[in-house]
Amino acid sequence: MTRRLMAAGGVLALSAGILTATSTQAAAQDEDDVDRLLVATDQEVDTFNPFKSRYVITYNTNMMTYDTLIRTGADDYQPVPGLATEWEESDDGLTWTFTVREGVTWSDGEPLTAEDVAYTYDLLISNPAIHDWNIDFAGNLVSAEAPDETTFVLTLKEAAPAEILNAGVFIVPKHVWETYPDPSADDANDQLPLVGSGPFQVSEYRTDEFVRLSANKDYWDGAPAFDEVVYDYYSEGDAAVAALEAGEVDIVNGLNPAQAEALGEQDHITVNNAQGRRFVSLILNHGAQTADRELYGDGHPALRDPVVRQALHTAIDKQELVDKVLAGNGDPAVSIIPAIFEQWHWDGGDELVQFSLDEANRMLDEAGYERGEDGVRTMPGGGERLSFRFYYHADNTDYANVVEYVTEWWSEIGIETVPEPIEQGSLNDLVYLGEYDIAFSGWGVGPNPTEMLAMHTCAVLPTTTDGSERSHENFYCNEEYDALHAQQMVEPDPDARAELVKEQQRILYEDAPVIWLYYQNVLEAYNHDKVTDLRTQPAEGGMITGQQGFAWAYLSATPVEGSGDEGGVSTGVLIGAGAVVVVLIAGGVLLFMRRRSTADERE
Amino acid sequence: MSTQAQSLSPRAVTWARRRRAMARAWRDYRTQRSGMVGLVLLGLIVVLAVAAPLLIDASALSVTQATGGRMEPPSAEFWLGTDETGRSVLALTLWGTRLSLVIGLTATVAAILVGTLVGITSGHVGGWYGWIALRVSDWFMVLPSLVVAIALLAVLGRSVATTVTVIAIVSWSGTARLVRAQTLTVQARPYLERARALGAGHWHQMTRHILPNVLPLVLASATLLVPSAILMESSLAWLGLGDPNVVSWGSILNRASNNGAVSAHAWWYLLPPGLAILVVVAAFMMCGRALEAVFNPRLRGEAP
Repeated sequence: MTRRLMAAGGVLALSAGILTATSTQAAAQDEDDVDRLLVATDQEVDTFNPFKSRYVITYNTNMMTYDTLIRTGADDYQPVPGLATEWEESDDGLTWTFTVREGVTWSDGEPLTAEDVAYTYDLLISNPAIHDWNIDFAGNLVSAEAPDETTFVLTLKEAAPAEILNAGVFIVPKHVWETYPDPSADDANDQLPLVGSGPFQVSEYRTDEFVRLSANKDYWDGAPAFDEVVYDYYSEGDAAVAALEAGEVDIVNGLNPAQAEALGEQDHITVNNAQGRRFVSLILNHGAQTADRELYGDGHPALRDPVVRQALHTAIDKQELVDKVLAGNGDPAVSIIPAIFEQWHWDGGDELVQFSLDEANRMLDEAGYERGEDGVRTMPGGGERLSFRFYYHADNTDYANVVEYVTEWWSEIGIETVPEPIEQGSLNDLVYLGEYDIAFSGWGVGPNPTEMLAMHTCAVLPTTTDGSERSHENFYCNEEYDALHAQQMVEPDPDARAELVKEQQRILYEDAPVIWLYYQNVLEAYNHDKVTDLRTQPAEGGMITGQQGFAWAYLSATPVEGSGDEGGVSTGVLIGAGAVVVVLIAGGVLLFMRRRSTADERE
Repeated sequence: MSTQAQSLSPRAVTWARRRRAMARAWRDYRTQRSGMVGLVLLGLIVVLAVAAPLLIDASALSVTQATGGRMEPPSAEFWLGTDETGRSVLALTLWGTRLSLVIGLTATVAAILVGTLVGITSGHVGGWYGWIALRVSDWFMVLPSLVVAIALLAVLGRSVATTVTVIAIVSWSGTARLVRAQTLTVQARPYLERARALGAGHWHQMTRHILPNVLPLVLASATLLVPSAILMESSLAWLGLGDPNVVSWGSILNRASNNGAVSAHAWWYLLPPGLAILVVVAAFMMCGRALEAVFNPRLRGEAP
């Protein structure tokens, strides 16, 4: 009898549990009138201070929280009006006058005026920490003034039209930022929700859980269709993929080919395989040097010889890397500007290096690098073996795979490599100290080629040997290149500028301080049953995540009408659960009755 | 026994005794069915590992000479499918056996050497040295081994040698404890007192009397240490902390999961190395348990 009692109690407890579960589900359902766009991420937040943040995730939250004067167009990366409706450059290119859009308000309701713009640019000029942190851009600014509510005037030291048009300075609210004791502090802007003028503002953040951005319903460029964009944390790529399959997240990026293929077979998922703006390269230690041309570090002497560098380049089959490592999701690289920026990209022309182990062997033979007994070449005249330390990022699977291929090709030309995976931070330290031979590097390139090209000018060589100055890529310095660089920065005619930029790329290519391996496609996927109208950048075959200059995709994103269906599904679930509860209660009552009857009989 | 041996030299007596002991141990061992199964499995695995270069050419590990497609399912040409670079998973698993075994065995030998040395000396010498040695081994025992191993590898860099060292460092203390306890028991026996009375030094006592008596125990504990060393190597390699330039089972699993084998449902890429680990670990465990039962009569069941 006790057993029956317990069974009855168990059933009752169970049904009570189910009742509570269904009621909380119902409550959750009510809250879900909110249209929420869920984006998977795995990157921690560095800082919400837009002047200090460097990570992709905070770049994205900044782009949504704030506006810029000029946006980078969605269609073709050309500058288009943002907060500034129009702008004018003086004849000498030193004074820029912007007309600030009228009727724009901050997310807290205060009006946005040219005062706010001037305040923001003035932080770049007069706040020492912010100035230093953004020295590439801020170093060229002289003054920022707002003569009236809709006019903003910026004065420069040197003409740099492309810099100004692509500045991407996030305009912050003066009335909020003035209250910060130190606007340059990493935690200065941590008071959530953030006040901004963009389409979504960061409203809630929990480390390793989520970043929530709430829509600005009064956005001047039209209210976003989604109420919230939420970055959800998934530490494993496969977990994010599974969540997308299960409908728990709406957008996932950074897929590997196997994941993209698996997702492509799902009915509710669209995989977007877009040409990327990221290159992956090998940087060669061709002689670490300071601005005074003092050599330092412990790079292998053979790499100072351009012939060796070109031979290494000739012995890499980039097409094979794209086919095998990226499963075809990319393009063999030529130079520093990826092919997606057609206007600036140099395609190698007749000088394109063709993969040939024989040719590479011939080059090294002619230059006097003879093979030793173990098949590894030595320096001319017999000396150090051509054995190079080969550093790659420990967390990058693609790099590890590339290393295997490259190591095998290079061993065919008598060059030994000692691959070593190193954490990103330590790897960067070693590179800037000049204590490496060959290392991986990769950059997401922006629409303004100056940014990338500037990394190879003499001007950014370090003044000390402690590795703390990191504006350069790998100690390159070439006067001819520098002259072209200075010229292209002030050249107003885009076609003439493109010629100069291409010539710079040709010099780098021939000198080979860096070997560009491939331009990587962006592999991303979204649930088209939940979200539609994601605007890509560029318009043709462009990407959704990883946009530059403005978060076009999230502003245009619209919830799919049919996602109301889900309400139907869960109603069904509710009815089902209700039925189960009824049955269970009936069962419990029945048991209880039987218990009573047996008890009666006993007595 | 001693009457028979009067005419023989002491060395011959000792060896005759040892031969008899070994024969007895082997007889006991043979009665353990699981121990025999383990031994046969181990034999097979070792043969496969040694013969790997004869069965499959080393060029099968080359990415540039790979002929298969990307993560192809098993076929007549590739019995266990291919990995993301088109290499045969069978070849990788077979070659991985060599490294996994070598690392497992070397790490165990290193751990056992250190453990036995510390155990015998601390048990025999005692005093403040014994106390310190005991505390040190205690300290190593309470450290969470995987965490320590990860931290050490992060500092020392990734290579086969560092992996072996790290595994040895985190696993010697158990043996030291075991050996010390056995040393103390042996120490209390009258014949050691007699040896001391006859003027035997510490070295003589430790090498001639104590060591032979703790060796069987050490052997059993070593056999049980190998599978844990192999598991640890696989865990570390799976976490991406192995030597990137060699193929081990853990590193195959690491590559598989990094390259999306889970999402692609490429079971042929994940299962072989996983099962291989399982089989080897099980084989060693079976042998180890059987050995333990042979050398430790208390563990022996009733004779049938």
